[in-house]
Amino acid sequence: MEDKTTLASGTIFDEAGYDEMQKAENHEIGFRLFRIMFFVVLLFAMVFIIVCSNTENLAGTIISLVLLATLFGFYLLYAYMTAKRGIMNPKFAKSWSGTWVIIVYAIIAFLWVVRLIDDLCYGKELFDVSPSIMWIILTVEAMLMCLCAKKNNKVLKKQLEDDEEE
Amino acid sequence: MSNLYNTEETENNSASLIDDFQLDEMQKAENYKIGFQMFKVLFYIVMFISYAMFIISSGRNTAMMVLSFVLYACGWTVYIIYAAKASAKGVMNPTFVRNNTKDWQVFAYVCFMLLSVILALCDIYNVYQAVIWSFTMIMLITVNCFVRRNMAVLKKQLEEDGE
Repeated sequence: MEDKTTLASGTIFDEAGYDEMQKAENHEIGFRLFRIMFFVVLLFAMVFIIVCSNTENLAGTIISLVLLATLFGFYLLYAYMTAKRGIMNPKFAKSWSGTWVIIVYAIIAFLWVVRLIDDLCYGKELFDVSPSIMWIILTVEAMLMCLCAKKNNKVLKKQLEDDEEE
Repeated sequence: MSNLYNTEETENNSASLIDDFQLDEMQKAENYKIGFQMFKVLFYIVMFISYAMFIISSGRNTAMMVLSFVLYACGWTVYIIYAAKASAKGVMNPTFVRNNTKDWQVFAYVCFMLLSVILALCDIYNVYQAVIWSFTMIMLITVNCFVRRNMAVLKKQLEEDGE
């Protein structure tokens, strides 16, 4: 245990010096916690946005919107990385790869953008328009998610074609 | 897409993105690796943002202060769960274990906690910061306990291997 390894990082999440079995176990724990953490933080981010905008807290509103955007950034990154390898949850990919999904979200995003512009023209503050920003973030994220699902399908199709050729 | 997916054939009906439903062992391993990397970064970001929100709102906005404290506590809970699960299997980072098994650490954490409480009671230190500081110290003590548990698991594994 003591001095057999020359490890630089001392954080709990580091896996230097692990064998493949230990790495796999570690990854599984991390994956399950990521799933829980994502939903918990998403809930908090939305509640934060509502609370901060209702209490007219500008700093809080900005931070909570950044938190929401960051969280969706992670969600998209996860989606992209899984789509690249064709390992997205098949049911999720199936329901999100429809072209109508992207059209519906584009329409919703457009409506919220119109409302945001209208609110800004009337000189409303950031905490007044934060629900519009939140919805724009959500719909843009949904459209990008749709593209990731399509990418996953493409990768799977290519894999199937390669398998058939072999 | 029916040639790609056979979702009807399984009992699991999960349609969420972060799921390992219908994946083979190789795909699961890749999926877990991505999830683990995401978790690692997300944890630090959440801790940073929740702490920043707590500092910004402390003494000004009670609702936001309470919410950010709860988020901070959730972040720590996830960290503790990770520590508990990793230590149960004895797969904690050896360097981390080596750095966190000293007896003086627990003593130092308790001292810091008491110091912040005393300073807050004497009106020298902000009471909200004393609360979050004390909470952090309690969490660090808990992590220290799991590090010791990891050592015990490893010792037991070594003894069993020796037998």
